[in-house]
Amino acid sequence: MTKQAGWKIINTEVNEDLYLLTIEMTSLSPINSISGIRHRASTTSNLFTFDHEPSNSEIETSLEEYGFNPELEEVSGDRLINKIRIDTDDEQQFGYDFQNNREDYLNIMNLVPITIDKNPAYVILKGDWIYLYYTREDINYPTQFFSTNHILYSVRIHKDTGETKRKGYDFDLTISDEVKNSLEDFNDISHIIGTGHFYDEDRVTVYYLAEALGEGVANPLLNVLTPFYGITWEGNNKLYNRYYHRVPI
Amino acid sequence: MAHGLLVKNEDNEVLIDSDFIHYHFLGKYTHSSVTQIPDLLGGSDANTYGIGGNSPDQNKGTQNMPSKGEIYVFSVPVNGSTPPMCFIKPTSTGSSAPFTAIILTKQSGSNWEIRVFQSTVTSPSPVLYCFSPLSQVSNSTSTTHGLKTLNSSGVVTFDSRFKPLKAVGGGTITSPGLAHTGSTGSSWTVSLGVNASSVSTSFTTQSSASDLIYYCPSLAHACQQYTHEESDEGIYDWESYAWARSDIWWCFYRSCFRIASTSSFEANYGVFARGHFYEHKADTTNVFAGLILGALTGGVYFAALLAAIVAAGSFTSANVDGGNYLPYENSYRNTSGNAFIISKASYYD
Repeated sequence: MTKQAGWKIINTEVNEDLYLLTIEMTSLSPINSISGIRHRASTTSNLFTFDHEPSNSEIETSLEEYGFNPELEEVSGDRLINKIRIDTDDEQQFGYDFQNNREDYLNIMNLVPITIDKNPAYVILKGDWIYLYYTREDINYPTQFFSTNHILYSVRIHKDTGETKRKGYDFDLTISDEVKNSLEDFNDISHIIGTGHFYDEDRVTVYYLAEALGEGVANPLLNVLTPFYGITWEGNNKLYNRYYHRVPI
Repeated sequence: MAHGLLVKNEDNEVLIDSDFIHYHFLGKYTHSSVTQIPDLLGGSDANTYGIGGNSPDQNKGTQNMPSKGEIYVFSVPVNGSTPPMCFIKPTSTGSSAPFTAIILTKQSGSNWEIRVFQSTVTSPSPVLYCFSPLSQVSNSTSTTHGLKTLNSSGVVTFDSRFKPLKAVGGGTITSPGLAHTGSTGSSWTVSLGVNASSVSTSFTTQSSASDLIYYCPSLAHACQQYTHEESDEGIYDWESYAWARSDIWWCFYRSCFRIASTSSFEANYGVFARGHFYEHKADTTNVFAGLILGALTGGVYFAALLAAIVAAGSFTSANVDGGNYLPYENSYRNTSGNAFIISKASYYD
């Protein structure tokens, strides 16, 4: 149900000439100019008393005195994310989202040489390549680039040529046995947490942990809260093995 | 009255009427047990592991809720169908004294159970001075003189040897309307403590407030609530997330009284029962629409609350279900015309 900012009376009682109004007040966060959604809502009910039947303007005056604001202020601080998406041995990737890193996000998006239908959740700039990341439940589902469901999508775009390369990420192992059995040294790995499917290259990445995750610990493929490895094969041959972990900055 | 005895004072107030069943001192009693209404709490927690850092986990119990008063249970040995009239000897008097009142009088076998509610927990505890018609008083006396009256049926209605109830003051008192005035909370912090101004009424000035006892059953009650809900959704740390939490806090207050001075009797409220229910859902993959707290109405009390605990919502209906979580919504009842009688403990000690 979509909420509307504003107030409404949810209970009225007249008791010994006192008007007891229980009023519900709903505040919404501003519409995000990139995602187009209001992401946060707050509703509070409180009791307001009047010695006569109040008019709407009298109620609104009371609500104003109470401090009701239909526009919810953004929560700051605790929504900040670690800008480092991945820190491998040989590279660092910084992810920027609109909400928390608006200037960096827009600066990178302005470098994209092709038209993007839907804005990504995060962007990364690495050399001449711009990475656009979309998450599964992002309302800006990247239909411009993908028609298959994944938990995370990346679109790599060359900032000069506009060349595009796509990759979809899944939890767990989502390659066929035939492919799996053809990969060099595949049987040496265990504790697999995810698979990366390259759409424009003959490559596949399998992500795995050194040790099994503890009970109740979420799969770290997206948030990298638990370090993991990722082996990428080109054809059937190992191309590289990277160690992914987060380093707070 | 064709015959009999009628004694009045100089203000033409009846002191003795032989046709009238007078109450006589039964005894002085201390409580046999102490109890409280259990908190009515319930909630469905979210697994917030990995959820965006702003998912609110605070104040899911009774934090910030006002303390409840205590209920003292007395067993008064009076075997008869007429309930005893019990006066409270409060633990203290004055502007800092707790408020105390009888909330229940019921026959239990050959005794009458009296429940006394006090707004705050104290030591020592209140004491009851109880009175009953002579037909239910089994005290004995060796005194051979005094005044004894009978009605036209030959029933003894007054006997000066058995300490008749002597009122030194009385009147009616009105309890406050709301127990808590002003805002009842903010965000996840509830504010439902009693802050109403006490209502005062006067009685004939006596020499010592600490000697006074009073009869004034609790009639007024109030119920107030605070509800808050929030939801958020978005992308946090590379994952979609969504969470929603809805809470309802409430307190049910009973009126109670105190001797404020040698001539002043005061009424206010104590927290008799309280409850807090919440529903909290969170997920890193599902984005769901903001949740709407259901209509919260008064009505069926504890049974509905227990049913609500059992019928905890599913994820997609993560809000607190609308329904009977509290006696009634944000109001009060029976505040006016509460009769009270003042007497003195020293008459009976």
